[in-house]
Amino acid sequence: MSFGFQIFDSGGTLRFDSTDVTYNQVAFYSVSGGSSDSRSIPQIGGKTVAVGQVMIDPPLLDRKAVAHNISVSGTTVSVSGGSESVYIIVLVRGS
Amino acid sequence: MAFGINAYNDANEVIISSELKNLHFIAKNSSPYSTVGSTLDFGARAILNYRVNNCPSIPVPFMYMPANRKAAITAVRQINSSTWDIEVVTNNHTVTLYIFADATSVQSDEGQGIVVYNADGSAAFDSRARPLAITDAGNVSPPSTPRTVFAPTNLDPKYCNSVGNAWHQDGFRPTSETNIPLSTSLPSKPMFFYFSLAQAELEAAFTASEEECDGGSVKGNCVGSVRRYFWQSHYWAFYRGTVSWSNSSNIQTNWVAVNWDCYWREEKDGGIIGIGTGGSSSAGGAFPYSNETINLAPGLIIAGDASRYD
Repeated sequence: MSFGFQIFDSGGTLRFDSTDVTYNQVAFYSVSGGSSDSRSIPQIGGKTVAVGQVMIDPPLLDRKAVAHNISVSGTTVSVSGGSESVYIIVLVRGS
Repeated sequence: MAFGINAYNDANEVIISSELKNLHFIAKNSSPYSTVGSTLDFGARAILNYRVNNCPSIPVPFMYMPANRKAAITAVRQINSSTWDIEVVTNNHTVTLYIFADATSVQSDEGQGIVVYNADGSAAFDSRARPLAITDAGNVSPPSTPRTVFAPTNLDPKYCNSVGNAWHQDGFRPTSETNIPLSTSLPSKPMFFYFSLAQAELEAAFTASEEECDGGSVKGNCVGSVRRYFWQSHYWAFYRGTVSWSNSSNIQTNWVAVNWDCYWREEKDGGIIGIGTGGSSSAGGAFPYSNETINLAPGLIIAGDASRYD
């Protein structure tokens, strides 16, 4: 490796370097069931955005659980329409 | 950027930044503390619960499962400020979870390394823990229905007598699968973040009727005491969306049946020489809590190399 960086653990094993690819977390928040949320996240501008929703304590076998709709427009992430409370994790990748 | 640090990879992508937060490896867990409903019936099912301790921020769980095994995360439950339960549905196998979280959850006594802080003073990157590196990511949709053909047969219309038997299983076992070719090869030991949002229900009704006549019959009409019976049984199964991988170039979306049962009703009426003498009805069994297929919108899947965190 002639340029870039490498990070080793205490045992000398390479754990991360500048050839790796990753998504970084820019936002993590919760949205309640039956409510909506729209927020501007400037850090996502110009990057590849991945938004995941993780249901908080949803029912598995006793009632239906409607997922939220998620949309990204510019630097705004909008979440609405779900019956369950969810964690929203916004990840980005790019320069 | 007026201050702070950005580190870029060979593709000029930011992989460490004081304006972002890296996800770091927190724990590996291959032993669920509870397994519910483990069975090979209906294509196989198990509902596993794993506990994550010492994690003050939300865990982002990745699953490793052998090739051709289905799995999905179905719930994340916060037990207390640093303890979480993660529920996983599989087709009756155990997955290994690799738990990631932001740097505030890193537990390390090592005195050397580099920590990058955000402007608010919280850790964004901590070299003492292994940062998440991914191999691929995207959005995938489940098949539109759990069965390629849904036409169950030979189920008893009376009192749900066939519930759970071989015919019920044959008619409702999930068969649909969507193959997704990958542009980037999976590592030999891939791990996946995939939260199951998709839910589906299939239901089939079987009916039967009989007439008992105590007197004679004239031109097909009972001239004595008559009793008429009607039975109907609704057999159903409920499914959750899952993922699997078959080789380094292909992943699949599919379904696991997580619950199944049946509800029924019976109606009786009677008469004498054409004069009604009243009727009655009864019902029983278990209703599905929903008869809808929902949440088929594409969902996020992220792949990484589990062997980096062994």
